[in-house]
Amino acid sequence: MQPHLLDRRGFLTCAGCAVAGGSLALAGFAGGARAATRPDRTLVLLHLSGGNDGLNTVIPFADPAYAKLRPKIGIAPDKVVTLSPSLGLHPALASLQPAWAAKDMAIVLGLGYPNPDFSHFRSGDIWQSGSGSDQTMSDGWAGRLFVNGGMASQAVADTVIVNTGAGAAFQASGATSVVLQNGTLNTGWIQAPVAGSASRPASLQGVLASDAEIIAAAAGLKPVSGVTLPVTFPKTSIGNTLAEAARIILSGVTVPAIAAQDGSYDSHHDQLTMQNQRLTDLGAAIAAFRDTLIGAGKWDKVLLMTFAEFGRRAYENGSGGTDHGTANAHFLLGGGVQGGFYGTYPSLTDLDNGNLKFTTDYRQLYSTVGTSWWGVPASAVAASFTSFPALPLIRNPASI
Amino acid sequence: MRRPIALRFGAALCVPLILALAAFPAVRPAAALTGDEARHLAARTGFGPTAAEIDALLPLTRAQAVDTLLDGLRTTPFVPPPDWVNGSPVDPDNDIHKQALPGIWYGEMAVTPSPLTERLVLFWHNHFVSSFDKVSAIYMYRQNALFRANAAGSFGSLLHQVARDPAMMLYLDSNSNHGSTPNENFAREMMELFTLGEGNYSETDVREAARAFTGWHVDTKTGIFAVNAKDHDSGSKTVLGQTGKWGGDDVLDIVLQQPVLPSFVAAKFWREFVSPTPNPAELQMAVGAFQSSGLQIKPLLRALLLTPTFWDPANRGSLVKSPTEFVIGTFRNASLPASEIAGAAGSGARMGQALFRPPNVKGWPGYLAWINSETLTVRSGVIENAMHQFKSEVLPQLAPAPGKDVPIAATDVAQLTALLLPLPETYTPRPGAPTLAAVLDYLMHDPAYNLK
Repeated sequence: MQPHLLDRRGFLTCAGCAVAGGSLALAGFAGGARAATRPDRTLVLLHLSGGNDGLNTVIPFADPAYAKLRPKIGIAPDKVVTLSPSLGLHPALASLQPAWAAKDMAIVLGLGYPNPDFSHFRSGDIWQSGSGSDQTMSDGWAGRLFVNGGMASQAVADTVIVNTGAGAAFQASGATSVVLQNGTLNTGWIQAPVAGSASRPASLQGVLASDAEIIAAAAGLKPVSGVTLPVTFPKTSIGNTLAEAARIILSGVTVPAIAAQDGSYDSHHDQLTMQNQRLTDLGAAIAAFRDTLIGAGKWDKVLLMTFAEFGRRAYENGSGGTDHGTANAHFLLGGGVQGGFYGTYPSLTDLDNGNLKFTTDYRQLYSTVGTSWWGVPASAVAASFTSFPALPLIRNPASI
Repeated sequence: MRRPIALRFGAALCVPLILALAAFPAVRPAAALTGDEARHLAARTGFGPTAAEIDALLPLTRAQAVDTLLDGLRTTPFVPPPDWVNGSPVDPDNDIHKQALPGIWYGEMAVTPSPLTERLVLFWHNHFVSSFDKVSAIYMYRQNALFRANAAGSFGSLLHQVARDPAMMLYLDSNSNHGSTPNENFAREMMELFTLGEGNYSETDVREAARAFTGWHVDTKTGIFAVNAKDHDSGSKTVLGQTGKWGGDDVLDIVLQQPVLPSFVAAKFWREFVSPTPNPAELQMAVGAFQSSGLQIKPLLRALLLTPTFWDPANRGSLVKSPTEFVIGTFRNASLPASEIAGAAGSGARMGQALFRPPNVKGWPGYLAWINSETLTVRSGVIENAMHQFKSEVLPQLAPAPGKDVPIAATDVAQLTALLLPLPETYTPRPGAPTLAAVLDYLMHDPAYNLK
């Protein structure tokens, strides 16, 4: 009832031939390559939907150009949560200070890609598919790694999407995603098909196969609903989302990826109020998530990574907000993370039409997750992300 | 395979369907459609469909029914579009209009007297793909209007118009196709995806065709198309074996003469309206009708809708409803107010079909690619929302007491099953006395409800 597994196996044989080349690699795929990946490690991918303003999140407070670009909405240096002599966090993210101090939070600076696109849709597609701006890919970056890299054979599903949205990065033919809404995987409508259904059209068989996938995932995820969280999460949208993610991880079920979304961060107007609220909620939820997993001894099995379709324009607009921009800073947190800054902050004076010039290709994040976190065979990662090397931010890289 | 159930369909909504079942017309021609057949034709050419649509087809023969649908095709929207579509293409509210446009089209689909028109517009949207990714809301709306105006007309005329359509030109980089530095994007996709199919042209043909389109330019601020003679490569080109100092329209005419084109286009129509895999002999008959009409879409569609495969009982439910069909059909079948349908466009997007934003130039692959564990869960959620709305807005008009469901008879259950499903139920009905909302809920969650 799970044809996707067959598909994947078939594809793997091909991937082994074409990508890895030698017979050794092929034997590896056939024999036990999946065992070598780390499906016990979970990626929680958090989409800051709408495009969070990185410049007011990880703030270059010591640069005089910052105040000039942001005369109305700039954060005063004495309000910034200082992380280094030149950089600090928005005050609403003070809740992340303990993670920074414990060195389990990395901040990657200047993330972007050449010839940036300013459309939510298109740039979102680029980030979620892991493509260049001159390419169109129909599958997601992580879904591609699952399939090419032979991930997650033991998993109940490759990805659990919490509540809604954000699943695009995990889509690929042969990768399974299920949606967990309000704590349950709804299967109430599914029944066993009546006798004779098997002789009905292929179209119906396709629906029934997906029914079976959902039932299997629901059975696998059943322990989730029994988990009581020892820490109270904020009663906010992102609080509920990360509480759900924590329940999944604490339940002990094998899920290589959890997709989550928060937003909107599309701060064209009155950014100060809006971003303050969003980041307050976000920081509090992440702090509760971290406390929970540390308490449960699972923090080193989790990597939380943020992304957004783009950063925002360096200079503020006339409405107390910022328009769509380019390079952005993102966070990676987890017990396995080597905390600190990675990459360099884009110049605030050498701008491209008012936009920051990216300094780190965003696809390096995906190489990092694939190679160092999940332990996807380097050949499979390279097939997707040639020339985008992993960043050295995982303490104990999965080695293949 | 299909149980021989005598169908009697009532008026437009499921409510009258239950309460006021219409009788068969007293005199029916011997070759008149069965209820099952009428439902099949309406489902394959519309959204849903409603009992009224099925009812209207019942007295007719197959050919009469198909001709009625084709005669009813529209070239303009039934719902007047908002004023902004005629405004300046320099649109300060482009982002807002992008958000609104899918809902505006949903509204048209929900209320048009010719659902087949909108199914054809959706077909062309997925054939001559352009996208919000590179195109503004105003130009995407105008392309949508172009598809409607030419939905079942001349394929050749449509191709020529699409080639100079601002949305297409911007999506496939025609403005970057300069005499000195040709851009092959439009020339390639035009041959590969719009007209001939892979393997039926060479790389040289693409390069030469791109040269013929050099200088084609759309002013992005006005939408005005012009051929910039100074930017046009006026030299000789050889495209698909024909040599001359061709311009873009010449190349399109050469492409339109290719013997492979009619079957390429017809096969795509077959997969949209008839079955997942064309029957070669029957397809060839339809291709003949297409060719002899000078590549008119209407005779092609007529021929396809009258093939033996189309009417074969084994072909019922062989296709998968797109998310758009699923949402629009659910709204109509649950009698939900069309005024609220715009908000449902987001549901279609979560099920994988964000209108005006196909995933790439190939469009949505369709068929079983619509169905996976994630999208099926979203489909179930759409039904739950629709039933919630049904219970709060529709049921109170019928229920004997507030908060109560409406008891219905076994014959009504059979009627509803035949209306909503193209195949017999896949799940076993729950025991107990049937009630209206519970039966609707159960039928719309049946796997066969995803099919058409």
